Amino acid sequence: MKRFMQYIYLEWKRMLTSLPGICLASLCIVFFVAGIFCICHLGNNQQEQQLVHIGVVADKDEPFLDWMISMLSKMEKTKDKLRFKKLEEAEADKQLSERKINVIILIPHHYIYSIIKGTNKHLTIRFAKGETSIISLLLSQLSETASSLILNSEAGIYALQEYYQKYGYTNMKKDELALNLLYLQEAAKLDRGIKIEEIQTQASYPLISSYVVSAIILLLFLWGLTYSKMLTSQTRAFQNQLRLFGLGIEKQLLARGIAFYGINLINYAILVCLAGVAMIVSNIWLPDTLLKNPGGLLLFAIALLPALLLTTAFIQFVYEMTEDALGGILFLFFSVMIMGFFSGCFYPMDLLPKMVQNIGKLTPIYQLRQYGLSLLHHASPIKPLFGILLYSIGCYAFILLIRHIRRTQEA
Amino acid sequence: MKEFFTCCSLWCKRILKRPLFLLTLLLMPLSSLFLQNCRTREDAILKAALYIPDAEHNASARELTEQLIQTSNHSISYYYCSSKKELRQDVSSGKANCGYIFPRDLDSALKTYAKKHKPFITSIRPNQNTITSIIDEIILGKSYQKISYHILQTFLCSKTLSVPNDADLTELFSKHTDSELLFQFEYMDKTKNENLNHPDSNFILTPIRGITAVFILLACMAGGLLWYSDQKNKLLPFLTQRKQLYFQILSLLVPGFLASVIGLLTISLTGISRNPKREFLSMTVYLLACIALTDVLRTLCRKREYFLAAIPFFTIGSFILCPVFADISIILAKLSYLRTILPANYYLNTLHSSADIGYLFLYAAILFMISFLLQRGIPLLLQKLKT
Repeated sequence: MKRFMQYIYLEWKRMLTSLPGICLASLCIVFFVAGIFCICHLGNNQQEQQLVHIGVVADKDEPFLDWMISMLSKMEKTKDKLRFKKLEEAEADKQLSERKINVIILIPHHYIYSIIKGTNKHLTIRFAKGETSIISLLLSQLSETASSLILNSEAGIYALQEYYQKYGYTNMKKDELALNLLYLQEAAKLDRGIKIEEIQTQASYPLISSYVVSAIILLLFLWGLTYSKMLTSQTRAFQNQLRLFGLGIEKQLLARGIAFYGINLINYAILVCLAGVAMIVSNIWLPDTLLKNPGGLLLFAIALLPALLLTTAFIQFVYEMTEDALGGILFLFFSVMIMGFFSGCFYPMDLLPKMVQNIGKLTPIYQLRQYGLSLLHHASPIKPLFGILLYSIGCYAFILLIRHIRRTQEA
Repeated sequence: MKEFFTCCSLWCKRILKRPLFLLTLLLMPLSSLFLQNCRTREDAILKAALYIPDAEHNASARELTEQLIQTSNHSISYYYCSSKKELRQDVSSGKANCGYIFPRDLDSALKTYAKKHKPFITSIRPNQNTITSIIDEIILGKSYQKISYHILQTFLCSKTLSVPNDADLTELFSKHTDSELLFQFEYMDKTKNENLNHPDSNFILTPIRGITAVFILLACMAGGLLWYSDQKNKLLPFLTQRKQLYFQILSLLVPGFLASVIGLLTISLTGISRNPKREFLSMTVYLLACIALTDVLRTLCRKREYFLAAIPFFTIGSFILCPVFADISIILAKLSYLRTILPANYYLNTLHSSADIGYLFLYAAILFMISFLLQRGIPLLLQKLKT
């Protein structure tokens, strides 16, 4: 027992030498992330930042263009969300690349005339680069809707023209213009056709809580990228020497695990303190959750210690399996990314294919997320806690298995 | 030259002898292929439930909903519910993002709407947001053909003071209806935006390029760790100091090069690559930028612990600030200035903007110069000042 405790202490001392560098990284990352949140929080108070700026590129003498821009700008749906700017193409491209505008609409020569005549030239919408949000993917569906509005309005106008010609009605031009304006007004207020009824949903966590918990979990895992020096396997000779002193593989691994968890605990405590200071200074909290005040943050941090156990076990497992820093870092990064992706850390899980969701539910990150979200929203964390403990035991069991297999192969 | 090849083979051997490193590299294209092929017909990002009361006698509502169901793809899918209760339950449980209840007589409801603007569809949803508003617009767009007909009919009644013959007007109207798509999407370099031009593109593959970029940076940084043990073990004593500096770049190039090759393979296998030449050029310049950044960090961080501390900083920073999953500069444009220190930011822009390849090259050149100055220039200057 004495030797065992001595070995734990020695391992802990060895790992402690790497702690300053890791704490420096903690400091940088917390200030970095807190800084971004503060800037976003301050920026969100300025309404101008919420607007979508659209550059319109067309011929200077394009008829009805100014009127259409004016009408679109004044629509109830768009007046607080969109800003239109008429620009030359080169200037528009420059502003698009500098993100001063979000998108460019290129109106071809005599576009309005082509709509009237029925030749229907195509509008081009230009983006700066690939869009990765869900809303941008729906733009193609919206473009079909917009095309339908234009084409069916045209159908109405042509039908009116033929009807008037057929039955010899006069005032066709005047009535055609009136119908055009009517169609434009109807298209602008088409949402009057829908009556909205909002209902309560069954316990689904808000997106912001989900992202906060995901960020914490991923941070705890990605911290493992700095632990390669701490967790490099000892040489075979040293391991055999320890065996001679009565410390078998199991005790060696347990001692290492305890020392590593202790170091991780110190790093975690520093991280919590830094996060607490950042949140108090910036006054950014999550109302209606456990993270609504400093006391809640402390409670949350203590309750999240089982999650720290699992992340510690997993990181140790990766480095034990790979036996070197290079492979360990890359394998850890890749496995955490894949598990995080499948578990809904980056995109909400219900947007992912069923197969991916089913696999995601089997990953440790899913259990950690569910645990974190349950704590945050005062739900029962028993089931995910059980999952976390199971995975932690599993990781240590695998580490033991790997060591035994290596010993057997060498023997 | 012989020394160069000796070094190259040494660095390659020590990388390729690590089976788990190779396994990780192989997992990248394999998992991307899995994500590409894991979607079934029923999978969609958004789901909308539809309910028609008295469906047997509600032909026009049935026709409209069948049109919607036929347009189902992996972005939005529509499905029928057998009752209002089932629809509400599906929305409440999250099985559907929103639900739409159609009226008993859609034709007469649309006619009434054209005259009095009374709502004709009820939308059931958890809360109003941009996505459900977009689905509203899509549903209304599908109904608009009938609405525009009724608007025309009402207009003609008021202008001609007589009720137009329905069959006659329907024939005239139907003659001119069309379903052409009047919009096209493109990028700044005038290449087509295939993701938006084809609504069934695979949304979950969009971050692959960004993840690959961060992976390559990480591979270079992980390679940089080997330099510390090389320094400690004085691995290349037979080389001059100047040559050692160049050969140390090789120790970053080998893992980075392997990761880049796998990255290019992943991007081409998943079909998100549109311009292979541009991809190759961007990847090459990006690899140089990652090597340059790692070399500067290695020079600045004399201790291995500090270099290790920089790894999560740059990795997490790349994920947050660069548009890998989402573009954070949409929230605040000023945040885009912060990401100028990250090579992934330039790389993700190079694919549709030739200027950004130039910026990425400049970024790499500046960092190489800084590294050279720190390793050779400043020590030489200090030496000369001393003497």
